[in-house]
Amino acid sequence: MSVKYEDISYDLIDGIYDVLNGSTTYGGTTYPVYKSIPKTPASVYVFIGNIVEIENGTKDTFMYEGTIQIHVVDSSKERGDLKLAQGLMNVIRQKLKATRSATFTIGSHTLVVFDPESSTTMTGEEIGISKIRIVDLYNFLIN
Amino acid sequence: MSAVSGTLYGIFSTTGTIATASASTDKVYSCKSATFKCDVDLPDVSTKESAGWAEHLSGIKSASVDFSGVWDEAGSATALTAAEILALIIAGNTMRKFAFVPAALGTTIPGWKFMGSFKGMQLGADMEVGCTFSGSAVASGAVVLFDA
Repeated sequence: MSVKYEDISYDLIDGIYDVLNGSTTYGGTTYPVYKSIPKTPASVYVFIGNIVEIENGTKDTFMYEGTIQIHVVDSSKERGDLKLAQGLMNVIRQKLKATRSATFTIGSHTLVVFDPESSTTMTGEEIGISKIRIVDLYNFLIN
Repeated sequence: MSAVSGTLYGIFSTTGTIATASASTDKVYSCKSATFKCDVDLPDVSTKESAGWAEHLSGIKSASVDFSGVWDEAGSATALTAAEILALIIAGNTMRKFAFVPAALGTTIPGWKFMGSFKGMQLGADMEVGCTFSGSAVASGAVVLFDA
């Protein structure tokens, strides 16, 4: 229950980070999870970000709903490794949604709904390096 | 008077008579909408002597309040939640006081109050969204201006 209007994006990003960080292991390697991408990122990494949010509360409290993206970025080979990126995203999905109704702790707020929306796989040139990027979109409702 | 924010208006319900004040603990909690309706029947009394125009009498008056919102039991200690309203209906729904009033009661904008009963309550549980509720209350007797 939120009785004052707040920014909930950091709590949500931090909550997802706490679930994923240290456990995004695929093929025996644990890949880094970034809330902000460093100047020199790893060749394979997970990025949490790109929140679109609206306030849609009641007469008594504020509630927030919207979408957040989870990225798996892979530039480990000449044109990226699609199998690796897909395998890593599979691990992430099972961490975030172990069951149909699973949610997780997000600071002082309550994550009421966290559900998958869509997934997009992109390939392309970024500053001369071929990358594969898989973006999973999740819907959220925060109280 | 300028336009009035709908966020100000709440529905309050408690035991007692309409002579008693409403308290924050009486508020129907977590509403997104509230609609106060006051109607009067206008029975037709047109005759051949009505010169071709319809005529009516002022008939039976009635009032009700519809409300809906997001189901949130967190406010149960300080207000009337959807589950508590359901419990009242299940228990037999005795006559209660209702008020449709703004937060700044009596200062610039009015409210209204009446004795009545909860008529219905629905809980919605659609997939991937928060649970919702909607209900209504119907007056039994007169509606009174509530201007503190």
